[in-house]
Amino acid sequence: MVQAWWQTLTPMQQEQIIHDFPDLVGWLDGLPATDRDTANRLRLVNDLAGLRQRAEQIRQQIATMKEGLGGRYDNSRQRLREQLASVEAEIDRLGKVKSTMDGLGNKGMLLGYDPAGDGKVIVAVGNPDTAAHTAVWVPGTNTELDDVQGNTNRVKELQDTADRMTSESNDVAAIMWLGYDAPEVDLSVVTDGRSEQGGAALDSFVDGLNATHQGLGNTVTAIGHSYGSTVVADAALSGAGLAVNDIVVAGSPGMHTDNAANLNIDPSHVWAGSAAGDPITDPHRYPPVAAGEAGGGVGGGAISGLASAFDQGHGVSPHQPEFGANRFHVDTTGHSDYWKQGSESLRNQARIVVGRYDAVTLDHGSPPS
Amino acid sequence: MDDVKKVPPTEAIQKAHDHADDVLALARGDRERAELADGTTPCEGRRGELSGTVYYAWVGVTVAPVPVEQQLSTLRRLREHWRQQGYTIKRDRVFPNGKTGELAVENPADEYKISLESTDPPTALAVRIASPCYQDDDPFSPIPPAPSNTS
Repeated sequence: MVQAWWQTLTPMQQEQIIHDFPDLVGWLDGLPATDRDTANRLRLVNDLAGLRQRAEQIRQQIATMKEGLGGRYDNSRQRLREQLASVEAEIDRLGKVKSTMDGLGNKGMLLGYDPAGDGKVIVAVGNPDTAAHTAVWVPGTNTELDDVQGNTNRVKELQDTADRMTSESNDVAAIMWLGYDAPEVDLSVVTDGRSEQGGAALDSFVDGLNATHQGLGNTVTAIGHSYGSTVVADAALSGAGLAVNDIVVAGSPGMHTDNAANLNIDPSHVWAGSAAGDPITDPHRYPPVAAGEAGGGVGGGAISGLASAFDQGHGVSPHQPEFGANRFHVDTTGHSDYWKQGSESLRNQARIVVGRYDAVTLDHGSPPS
Repeated sequence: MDDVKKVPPTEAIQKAHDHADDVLALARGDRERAELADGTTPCEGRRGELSGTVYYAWVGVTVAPVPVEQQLSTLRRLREHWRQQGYTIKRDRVFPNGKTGELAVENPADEYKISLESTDPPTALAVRIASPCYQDDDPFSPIPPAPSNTS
């Protein structure tokens, strides 16, 4: 519906709406990726300009207050300095998004940007509207807008790995999708609220990708890491399911169901990876023994309880044979090395993205023929 | 990650490009079709967190053309060359179709990893070179393109 409406507008009208409402347009599922990118970049530029202007105003206020004033104005000056520090910190934070997009050059597209709270950001490497294969990577616990650079770099490597597996160049797009409020290391990580919200948003986003894709025969793969896998699961379990060709989960604590057949997708297109020593996928076998020894961006003595609750709160781990999914071979260790350089785990996920099922190394399962 | 060597990303990427040059030469790939790409990706901390200062450098390169009838023989030739050079063979596999495959090796001298895999359809070899983890104060800011050895 959104796409149909957008196509009724003239280019000038579209440009005007982007200019006037970039914060809305930038998140409209069903709009072409190029238009979302334009809107989000404009919003980012506006936000940074506004912050820099504010910082300059505060500096001038501080400078004015310094002239001929005594100690009784120290509190006011101190408050202004604190405000300035806060504004400068926000400039640094948003600057990471800008720096990330600069680093991607013309291969990058900013498909979502919202600095409020922990922040949401969606960065594509390659254009999903023209790619033959698109991966949508959903990160897990503790992921915030601040993490955009590192996570995007990881997705960039997945994109390049997969793209080279095909004979065409630039026919693979990979998207770092932080379109939801990832939970923190507290009870939000063991309950379903964030994943349900995220699942609905992911479902809408993927529907939008399919609506705007140009040409026929494209494939979409959803890849969920850690809590991100529960987001993918909730999207797949709802309504008609998630409109993807393959679901990949790595380091998953569970998918809110005990069987892949319930995910509204052919189970042969469900893939799970579990690394040796990952306390999230198998906390009973790999209990986190000390603070600082667990994965997933968490730390401290709460890991033991969290990992166990995490596991029990989200269902049977999908790498278990009884879940009915394919278990792709993972040659890495711990909770977050699934995309490690030179790893078979990374290559297996890239193979799934481009449909090279016969080349995926499996521990168990029945891949698509 | 206290014992991670400090190496600037430009240096780590350049070394990966040097390895890419060697692969192209050994596999007799067309430099015009190499489609080089490079980058830095975070290494994981002990707690699984994405490090802000510890990274690895990578280079992707396409070796083309490699017709289907030369895919396995090319991989074999490269494997033997590296085996004689003392590289560790990490993975050496023929795919179920019997005509294509993959090879992964590691250079023990600098711990760089090289992996090759037949493309689909089998017209080329997809190559990745990755460094070990290194440390730098700011490894993820945009890095100027490496000197073009292979263009």
